[in-house]
Amino acid sequence: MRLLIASFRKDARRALRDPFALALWLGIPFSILLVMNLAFGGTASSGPRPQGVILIADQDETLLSGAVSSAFSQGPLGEMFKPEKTTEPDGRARMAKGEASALIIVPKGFQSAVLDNRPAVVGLVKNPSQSIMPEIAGQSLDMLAEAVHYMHVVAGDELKMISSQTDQPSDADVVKTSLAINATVKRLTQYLDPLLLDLEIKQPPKKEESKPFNMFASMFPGIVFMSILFLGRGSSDDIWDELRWATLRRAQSAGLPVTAIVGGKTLAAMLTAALVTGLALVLGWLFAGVTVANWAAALGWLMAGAAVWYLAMLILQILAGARERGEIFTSLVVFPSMMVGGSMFSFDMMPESIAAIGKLTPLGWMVARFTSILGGAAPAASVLAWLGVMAAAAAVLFMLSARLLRWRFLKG
Amino acid sequence: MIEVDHLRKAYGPLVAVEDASFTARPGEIFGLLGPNGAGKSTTIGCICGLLTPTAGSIRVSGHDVVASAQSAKRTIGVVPQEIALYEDLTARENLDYWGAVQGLGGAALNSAIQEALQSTGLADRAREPVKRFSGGMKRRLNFAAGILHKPKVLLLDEPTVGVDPQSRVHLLDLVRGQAKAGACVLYTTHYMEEAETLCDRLAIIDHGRIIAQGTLEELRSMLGERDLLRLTGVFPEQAVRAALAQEPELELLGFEDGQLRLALARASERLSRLFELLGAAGAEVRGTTLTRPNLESLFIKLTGKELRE
Repeated sequence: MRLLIASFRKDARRALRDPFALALWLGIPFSILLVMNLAFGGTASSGPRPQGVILIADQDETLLSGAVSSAFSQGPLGEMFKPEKTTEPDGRARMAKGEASALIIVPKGFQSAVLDNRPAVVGLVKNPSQSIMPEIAGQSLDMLAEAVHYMHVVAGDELKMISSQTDQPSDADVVKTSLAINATVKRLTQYLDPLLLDLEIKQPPKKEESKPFNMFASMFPGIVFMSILFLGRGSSDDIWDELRWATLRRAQSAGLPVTAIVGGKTLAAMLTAALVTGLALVLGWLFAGVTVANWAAALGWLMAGAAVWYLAMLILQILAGARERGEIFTSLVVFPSMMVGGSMFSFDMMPESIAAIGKLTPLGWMVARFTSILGGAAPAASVLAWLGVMAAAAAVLFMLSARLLRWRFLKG
Repeated sequence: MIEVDHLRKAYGPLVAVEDASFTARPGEIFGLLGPNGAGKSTTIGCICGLLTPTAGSIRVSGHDVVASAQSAKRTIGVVPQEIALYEDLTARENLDYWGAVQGLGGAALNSAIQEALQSTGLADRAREPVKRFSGGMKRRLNFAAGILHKPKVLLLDEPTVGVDPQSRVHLLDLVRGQAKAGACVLYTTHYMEEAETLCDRLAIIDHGRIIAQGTLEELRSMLGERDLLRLTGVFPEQAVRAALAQEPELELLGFEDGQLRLALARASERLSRLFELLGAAGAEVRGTTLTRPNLESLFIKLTGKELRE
């Protein structure tokens, strides 16, 4: 234990002596995150809902033409559109300037045409520079035309009677119209009562309010693990300096076991990871709304991940046999892992099939579980079980790397 | 004490050390003198447990280095040929690490570090990273890292390679100090002068074999206080051999193409007579090298080549 601590102290000192490397291990992944955020957008929930201006040129100025205007100021359409009355020339001029999403022109004689069951043409001018709002206006107008058609079929005569009044209808006319509509309804009721359709009303299960997509939060777990990959790669590269300086052989001749050498280096990598990724967690939590349900579990998971990745990279370096080849070997693992393992693109951004494959990779497995730990979705028992798997993997890699190091470079 | 008995170390067909035996005692500096690649570092590697001997045995402070490796290692201090230090750590941090690896801790470690820094003249640079040190300073720190735990056996593998004269003198004084304090020092070098001035006893090694060993006086006596004369030119062998056979106190050491090696007393006084003899035998002398009796001339006598070749 004394020798392990001596080895750890030395490697930790050396790692912390190089703040530039620490900054790079944190800075590169977060620069990638920043670029991705700028390229693909930030939180979708932020900002007010877009509202389009809809211009209505009512040349008919009747009850029915007024209903068209009212339709765009009530209910959900009212949230989306701000209707403004205008004349046709003024409306066209404003549309030319791009000041509105659409212009609806209700021609003179619209109401009488509807009541006489004659074709009536309502004009719609869309803003070509917008895609969504004009389309909604067009579809809303189609539905309105359909509603007017059915209203005419059911109560055309009555509406005709009301519309024929030049002045305010008298009480007698209202009663007469009401009775007529009532008779119509009774006539229709024989077809509808008893109900031909058995209407079952169910209260739909309350849908969990879907959270808006937040790219930063979505990519954050993978980005943190990208730091760990870089850290593992950079730290394992140190073995070449040790061999060049002959410090490993000197340590061995002084009686330091290879397990203490590898153990010290692994602990130093874990400490460095705790500092680098801990800082990332705090910054993410403070400034980007990243949820950290359990700090201790999150940090423990990252340190375990650092141990596994450091040892895996160390094995690759030893197998490579030379620094240049080591760089190639580790790159061959690091970059493909980042691409599919949730670091370069979050699983939310990937096609489902690729995401499913990515989650099966070691990095993807770690990132997916880290996401659960961060969000607090993972029960404590699961977290402990996962940490057990990580510890087992680290133990196997540790024994393998110690043996390989002795066999490759320190064998007498 | 170091007891090396019939040591053999082979890497497949390549034999690095063959049948080497010697004993180095406490309080003495035992030198292993030989050219590069002679097997000096391999011998040290076997003694400190880095390499496993193919055959033979080595005991350090009474412990077999293979059977009781850890016990043996606890008594050994190693100063490797390479500057085995962490360039990114300070001198103090390096010593802190190497001291801890050698079993020191707490106040004992701090005291040992302070003492080592003082003795190597690095106390005022203790907090500087090693990468800023000169070659000589690094060598001294390299030495300090090997003696922190006051080892009974100190193995020094060419510790003065590439060192400026001032640092060399300083280092050699430090080595003498260790021996004076009772340590058994094994010192390998290919610098003849260093071996002559520093070592109490010496073994000359070449091609993995120890070809001579003893005190400096014992080794010199092998030359019989005779000078070594090397002549180059054209030498008709039969006639030259016959001519030289008439000369008293002259030994023909070697007769190779264009080169004649002789050991003879008072060579400078007898050169003209020798040239006459060779001239009469039909030889043509083009070059003459006269070497006073020393380790180099012994090495030349034993191996037929210069130490630096």
